[in-house]
Amino acid sequence: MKEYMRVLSYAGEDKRLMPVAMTLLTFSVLFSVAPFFIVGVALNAFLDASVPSMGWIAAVAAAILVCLVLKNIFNGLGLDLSHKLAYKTLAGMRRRAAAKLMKMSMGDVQAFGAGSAKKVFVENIEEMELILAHSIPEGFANIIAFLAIILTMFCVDWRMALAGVVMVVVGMIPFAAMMVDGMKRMNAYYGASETMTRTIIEYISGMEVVKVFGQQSRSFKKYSESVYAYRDNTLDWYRAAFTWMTTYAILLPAALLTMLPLGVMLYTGGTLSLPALVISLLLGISVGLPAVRIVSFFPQFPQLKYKSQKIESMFAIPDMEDGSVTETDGHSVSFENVTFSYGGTDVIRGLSLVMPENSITALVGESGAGKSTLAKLIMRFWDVQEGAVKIGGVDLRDLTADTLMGKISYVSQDNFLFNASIAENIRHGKPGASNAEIIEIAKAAQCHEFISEMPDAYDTIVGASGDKLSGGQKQRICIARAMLKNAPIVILDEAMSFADPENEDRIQEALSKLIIGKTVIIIAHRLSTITDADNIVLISGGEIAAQGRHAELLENSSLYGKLWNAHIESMDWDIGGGKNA
Amino acid sequence: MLKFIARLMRFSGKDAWKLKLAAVISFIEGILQNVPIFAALLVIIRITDRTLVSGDALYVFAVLLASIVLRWILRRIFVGLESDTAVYVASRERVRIGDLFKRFPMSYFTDGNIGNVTSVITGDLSFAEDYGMTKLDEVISGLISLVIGCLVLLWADWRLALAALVTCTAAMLVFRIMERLAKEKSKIRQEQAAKLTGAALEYAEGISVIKALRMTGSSAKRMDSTIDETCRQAIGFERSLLWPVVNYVNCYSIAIAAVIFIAFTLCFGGELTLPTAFMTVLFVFQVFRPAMALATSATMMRVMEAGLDRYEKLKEVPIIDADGKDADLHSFDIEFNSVTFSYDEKETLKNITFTAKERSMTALVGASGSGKTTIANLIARFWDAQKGSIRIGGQDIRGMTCDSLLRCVSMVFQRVYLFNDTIGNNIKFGRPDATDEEIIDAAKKARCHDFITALPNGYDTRVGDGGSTLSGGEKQRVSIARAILKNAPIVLLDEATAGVDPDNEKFIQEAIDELVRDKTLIIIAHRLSTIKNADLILVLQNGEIVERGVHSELIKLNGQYTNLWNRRSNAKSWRITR
Repeated sequence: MKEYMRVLSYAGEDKRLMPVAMTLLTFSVLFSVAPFFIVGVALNAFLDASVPSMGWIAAVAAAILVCLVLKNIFNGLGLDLSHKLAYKTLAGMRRRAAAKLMKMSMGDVQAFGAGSAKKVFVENIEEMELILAHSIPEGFANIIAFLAIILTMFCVDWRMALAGVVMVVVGMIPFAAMMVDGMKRMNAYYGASETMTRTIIEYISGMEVVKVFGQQSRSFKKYSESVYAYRDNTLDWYRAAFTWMTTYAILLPAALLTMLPLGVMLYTGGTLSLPALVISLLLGISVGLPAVRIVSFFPQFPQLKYKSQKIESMFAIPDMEDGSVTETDGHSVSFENVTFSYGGTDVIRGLSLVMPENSITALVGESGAGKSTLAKLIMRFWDVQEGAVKIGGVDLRDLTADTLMGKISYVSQDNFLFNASIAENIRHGKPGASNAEIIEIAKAAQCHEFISEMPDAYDTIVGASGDKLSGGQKQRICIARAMLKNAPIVILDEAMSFADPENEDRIQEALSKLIIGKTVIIIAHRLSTITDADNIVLISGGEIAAQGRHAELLENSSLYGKLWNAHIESMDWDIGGGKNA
Repeated sequence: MLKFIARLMRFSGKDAWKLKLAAVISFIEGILQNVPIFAALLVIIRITDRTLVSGDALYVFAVLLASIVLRWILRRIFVGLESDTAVYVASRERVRIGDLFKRFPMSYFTDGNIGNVTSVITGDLSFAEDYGMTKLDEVISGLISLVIGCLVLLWADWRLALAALVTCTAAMLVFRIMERLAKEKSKIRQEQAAKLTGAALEYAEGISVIKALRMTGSSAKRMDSTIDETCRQAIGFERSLLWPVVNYVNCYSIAIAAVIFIAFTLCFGGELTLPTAFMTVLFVFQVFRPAMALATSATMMRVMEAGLDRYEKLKEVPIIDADGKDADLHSFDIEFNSVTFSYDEKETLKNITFTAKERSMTALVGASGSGKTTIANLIARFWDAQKGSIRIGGQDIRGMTCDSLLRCVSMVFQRVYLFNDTIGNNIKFGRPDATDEEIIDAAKKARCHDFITALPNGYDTRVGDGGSTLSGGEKQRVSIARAILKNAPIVLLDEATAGVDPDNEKFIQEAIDELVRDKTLIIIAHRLSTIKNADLILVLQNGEIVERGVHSELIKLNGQYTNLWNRRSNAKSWRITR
């Protein structure tokens, strides 16, 4: 119930639709019971032979019709409102999720994963719809109807009412048994279900490999075994559940089983009037439906809780706090005694480093040394635990996010484009840039040529994540975007690694233009590209192992020497060297 | 509605009889549901006759109890039949489609398709599995209730039956409207759902770029407007069905009121006995319930049908080696004879002819999009060429099963897939009967023995889904070890592979050297310096071979190859400077 109110709070103002919807639905249920009274009255009139006229009969029929039609209309309107509320709630949750992604640190977004974020955003939130729109409001309405009917029954004749209530209670027992029994089997069922889904995904994703190695039959066996295991677990659960389900589905609406014999005894005993008997029986028949609906209503709350947990776990990730400073004294980047750990292990240990303005600083080192982490710390993917990262003397945490982002261009192999035209994608670097400006930049970034060859040139839509373009083309558009942005700090994170080897020279030319006059931080594996850097910083185990110019490092650092030699060797690699020659 | 029944029956194949039997049992159970009403009626008749005695209570109880027990049995049987059928049919279909996948062309399993196919098999099929039979039961018992209702009323008086018949027919007409509406609207809704998914994915994937470009405000606004649009559409969808649903149910309300009116009038006029009129009135309240419950089913049935449509479509993918033979190859020259191929209208390869000699190295060189990768893919029969022929060892590959062809081919491309299994088993996948020594030997050759033994469980370390616990270069080397173990005589290699993970570049290069030793090698070359030793270099441009020969000859031509070579040399010596 608490969960439910919390979920509803995402609907904001529209939350007030809930009592309205429930009232309408309750009226609907009450109107569905009312005709039984009218019929009861009419039957008594017939039994007394006191029916006045045809007109009276017409009035009875008309009254019944009005009740039923009102029932239908109230039901329709009530569900319409509850749907509106449900969809508003979903929209509220989605807005919240969207805002959350924006406020989370980029490191947390990365760790959460775009796929999971999308799943929360679309699927997990959508799953709440049925519960919010139908199960809960209808459940409430049925509880009220159920209570109203029982109450009326007691007013008519308490003994008959008691007999009816006994059957409802008896009917609840198998339901409770099913819940207890179900819990035990449910885990096996969900386990098998997950295994099957995983196996199916693996079977399909790995099909290419399976075929190449001719392992179809083995892999198919694993696949079909998981399908059969799921089938058997499902049947196991279903068979147990259906026995209970059948039992309560039959017992709950079976109030007449006790009421009718009791009625016969009471009537023949002379303590029950015929009208009371008839009305009691009619009520006994109509109490079954809400009773059946109520039992399917109770499990909705744990379901709601279970489903909202996934969503709430995303909402619980802390926000990154924004600073307030918008000015810095120049654009040098400095690390002051920075320690940063991630997932319990220190990635950067007490590192201090200055990257001056208008200079090139290269970060080199083995895989996992912490080069990329350093670059991402400058963009405040995460906050450091000790020390500070500063731009122009100002701690990043004191800067507004906008100011910080305005100062940095980041180019990597991961070239994200929006599903919009090429021109729009470039223009994102500087909103309001003219077409002439965009073409000029595109020329400098070596992409004008291929853009012009496309059917719609600059108006070509790049597709989701830019998938209509090759890796190298995407990269050059990203570089154009960064050039247009013209930020004073440029970070190149392995930007030259094989996005498009055939066009590497073009990418290099574009990069050369991007970095003119900037604070440049470059992470490079191919050491030959950074031999001219003003400062080469060799990172090892999250610390600075050595720094200096290329020639100095070759002389002073054996680790650098090792990396350099490995690089030279791999540059000269030729396949089967000597074998076929 | 009837189409839906037919559809599920057809889908159930050889289990359809269970559904038919279930329908019959459900019908009988439906009739028995009315026993309490008739019993109550009997009591009232006896009251009016003044023949009711207290001992009748026992009889009434016995009859009601018997009907409940009987109903319990019948219900348990038909519910069981239905759910068993659903579960069996779904699992049978999953296995059947899994079997078909084995024979789908390799080209089918692209990233986009993999997502689709998975969602159909797990999502759409499961939806039908979970709800199909419940809906089927609802539809059948809804229709049956109408038939029973009209028949019982006919027995009482034809005028009652006529009133019911007219109103129920009207109800059915309204239902048709609902079905049509649901079909139209659910399509719009599905498109909106796809839009939302696309927007969410772009938003989540692009978040760092959005922040970097300071687009947080505009992106958030755009996202919010997509969310609002989705919400508006969903509400509109429900609203468009509101009045049709109300009217559908109203038809039955009219039926009930009309029947009551006629029954009372006839009774009043003496044409109908009092007990019959009573019975009619009690009965008419209950009998249309199942039919009314169908009001909300139109949408769900539509969703289910759309899912089944998507599923049926999967089965229509043409099988590539339908009439191939299992051939054993003994020599491995690869011959392309005037091969022309296109994915769509544009010809990707034009009139390609060349021969790659057994145990030689053939390099494919050219700008991106020139057709290099397509040539390699055609050798592995991802597709079949439209014109010309490809022969291996003199055998046209179209006459072979994919299985027997791929026995001779190892592929090392950029996309690496490892199974959620131990590293040892992943390597063993190359040759399932390999001994542990052979696996370790392959791992050593692929330069992955060292990092594997450094892992906590060595060769028994599990890799996550898609190999997520290893670095890119490590995965690459494990996949090369797998290929080394397979030891196929033909190797198709994308050389960019050697550079994807810079830190492991050297190891990967060494692993590749081991893999290609003494093999017929086709290499998609990007860096040119790597293929100086190639026995044949084919320079491609727009799907055609424009130059061919060995390095020393080509470099003298001063043509395409020379141009590429010079550009590469410049790129290689480039350094970043202020």
